[in-house]
Amino acid sequence: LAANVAEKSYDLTAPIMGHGVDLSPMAYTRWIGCAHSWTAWGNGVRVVTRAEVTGQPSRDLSVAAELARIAERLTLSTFERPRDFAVDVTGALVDELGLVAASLYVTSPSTGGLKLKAATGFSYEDYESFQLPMHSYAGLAVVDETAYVTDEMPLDPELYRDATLLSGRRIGGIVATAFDSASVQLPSRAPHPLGCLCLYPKDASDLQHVADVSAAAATLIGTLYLSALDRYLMHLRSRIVRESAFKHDIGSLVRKSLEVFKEELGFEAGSAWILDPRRNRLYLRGSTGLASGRRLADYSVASRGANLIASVFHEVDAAWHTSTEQTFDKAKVIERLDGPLRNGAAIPIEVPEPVRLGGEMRSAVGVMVLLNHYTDLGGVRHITDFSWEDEAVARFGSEMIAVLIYQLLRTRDHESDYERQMHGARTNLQCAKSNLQFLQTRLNIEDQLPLRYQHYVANCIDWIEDLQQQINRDEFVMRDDLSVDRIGLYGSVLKPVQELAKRRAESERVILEFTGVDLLASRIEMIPFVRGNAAALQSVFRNLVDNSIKYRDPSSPTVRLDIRLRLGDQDLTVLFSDNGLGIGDHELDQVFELGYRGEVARRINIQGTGVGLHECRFLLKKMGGAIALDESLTGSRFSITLKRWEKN
Amino acid sequence: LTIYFVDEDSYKYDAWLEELRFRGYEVVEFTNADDAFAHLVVANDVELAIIDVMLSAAPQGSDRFTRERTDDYLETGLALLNDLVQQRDGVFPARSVLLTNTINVSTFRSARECAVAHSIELLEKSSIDSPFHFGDRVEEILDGIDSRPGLA
Repeated sequence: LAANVAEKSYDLTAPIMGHGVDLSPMAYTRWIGCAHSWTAWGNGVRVVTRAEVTGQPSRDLSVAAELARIAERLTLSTFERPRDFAVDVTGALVDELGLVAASLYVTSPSTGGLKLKAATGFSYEDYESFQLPMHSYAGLAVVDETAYVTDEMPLDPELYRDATLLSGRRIGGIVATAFDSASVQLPSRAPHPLGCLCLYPKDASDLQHVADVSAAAATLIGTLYLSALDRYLMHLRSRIVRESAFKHDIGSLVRKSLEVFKEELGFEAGSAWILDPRRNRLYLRGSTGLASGRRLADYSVASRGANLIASVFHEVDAAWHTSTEQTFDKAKVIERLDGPLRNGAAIPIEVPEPVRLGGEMRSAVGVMVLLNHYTDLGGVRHITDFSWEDEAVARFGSEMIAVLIYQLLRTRDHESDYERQMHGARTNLQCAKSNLQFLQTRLNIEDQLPLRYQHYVANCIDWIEDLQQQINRDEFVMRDDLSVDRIGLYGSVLKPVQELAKRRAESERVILEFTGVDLLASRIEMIPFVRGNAAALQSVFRNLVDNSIKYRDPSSPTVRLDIRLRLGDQDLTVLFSDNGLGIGDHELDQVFELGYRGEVARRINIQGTGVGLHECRFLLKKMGGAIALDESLTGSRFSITLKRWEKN
Repeated sequence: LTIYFVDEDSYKYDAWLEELRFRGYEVVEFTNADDAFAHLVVANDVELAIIDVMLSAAPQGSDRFTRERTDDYLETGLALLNDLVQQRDGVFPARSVLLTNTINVSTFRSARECAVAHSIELLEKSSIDSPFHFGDRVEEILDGIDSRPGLA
């Protein structure tokens, strides 16, 4: 039958296949229709529409033919967002039915109004801000779930508010038809009907035909509209994943997500409040379109159990939303909790199922507050509201963001556990070392212990220092945020490393000579401060020194380390060289790769993991610095570049 | 005159405290914020109070140092210092120093902000290399503190 209709052939004696079931000749004397398969849309939606013959076969055949043409045209529609599809719908209706104009509205359950989604033939293009109340002709069609047809002139301005947008063009009347979906899988909180088609024919004589076609097309359009929404949600998901999933902290993730939401939903301003489960508080982690004189971190509220929306709205005096025309009134916000709020929406950021966070089972990890303000249109103030579709999109997106935030919070929980364990380990190691040092020196064990036993104590201290060093290095590598400060390179880094290296050399029974460092000590006031983290920089230089001792030349009795500085306008380069076995010129870049072990290390079978130099580069990069291995005839020569400290 | 060492793990730092005693200082330890506050708010012999940032409250519970106020007991030492400053601004914060071994960036940031606000030192335990280094640092800090009339 679909093929027949498409060919404009109305042979009612042909066998009819509908839904895969043969209809008897008796049946098709009562029914005609058209069928289209929408599998090309990728989600397998199949739509079948039918029109009942009511005793006027020519009229019904005409409606079926119009419907077939509209359906065929919408099959070819390419769109990204539901609104683009809605534009195609109104365009197809105007073209195929020869209308003056057509518009498509979706319902806003929170306010009980209709939000304009698309229009063709209107002079006004700002769809986002035009809305109709439920006491308009379109509203009446939605309330009665039927078509509302009138040719009554002049139009009642209370009912026909959008007629002003036709710029005085003559119309024969108005047909308003509620539309719904045939699909049983509606988004949560989607109302019945989904919205309304408003059609404006040229002549009153066309009203009945237009009404018949729009009634026949309503379910088709409603179903395809939801299909368009589904497709759009897939687009939104891929956008959120692409732009937000790889953020490593909640603030960046939330800010990026709000930007995406603002672009996609077109709201004026918004903010996101995220739960800190450990503190049981909600913190403002990002906002867009809002003026604020204070830091985000200054805005936080105590969580009141499971209802995070209530927590945000009961506690926050939102007077700081100063950039919105309509001040976000606290009373109205609270009103939103019990019923409609005319200029905002609060969307819980919830994971699909409760998860354990901060020791409790929770679904909501935060709240997203979306705000719109009034728009003047033809002297009438309209509130840009959120439709069921906006809410469906926001809920879908917020669920995705919730999952991403949950992963970050879980990671933070693990990090918190790790921090506690490391805190204990660091404390114990430090105290053990202190006790040994105290015994070694203050109790003068040299007098009481044979020399060979004194080494036991010294070795224990060294091993503890190695462990401390390893823990510090791992922590620096693990942490996303390395605190960077003004560092005096000699006093805070080179001198402590030199002292540690001397002790290490003693325990390895190696003669260690530093050159250049003493010169630095004598000119300390001439060395500019650098930008870095003292402990991380110590870790870098200690790594280099350890390598120099480890890969020393066995034919040389002394390990010589030379440290010199080269000043640049913006940076300071430390030239570090030794007289060890060196690294081949062909390995200059590879030595910084994770797990790479140099030829010399492999040849002489010295234990190592190939991690140290990789971590050095990683840490320096975090501090805005760099490390390079220079070509050298003897030993190894590294250039470590650090940013000079700028006061501002 | 006495150096007060306020740290729930003070027993672990015996070697550091012994070093101070070796150098001739009287050292008194407190292992929770409530006990420390009760004593320091009236003590007349405070040479220096070394206060650990991550510090426990009284085992039986505390009205003063609550979980909410101390950020889940991560910043109890900061609350203790602030309370002492409020009660005895003639002694604190001048005769105090903060001590921390935290690797939590947020806690460390709070500690540093507190130290800067009160113009006092923040000692990182991880930067103390030995008991002798600790003794040296404490003496450097004491040298930098002006003696205040009125203290015993």
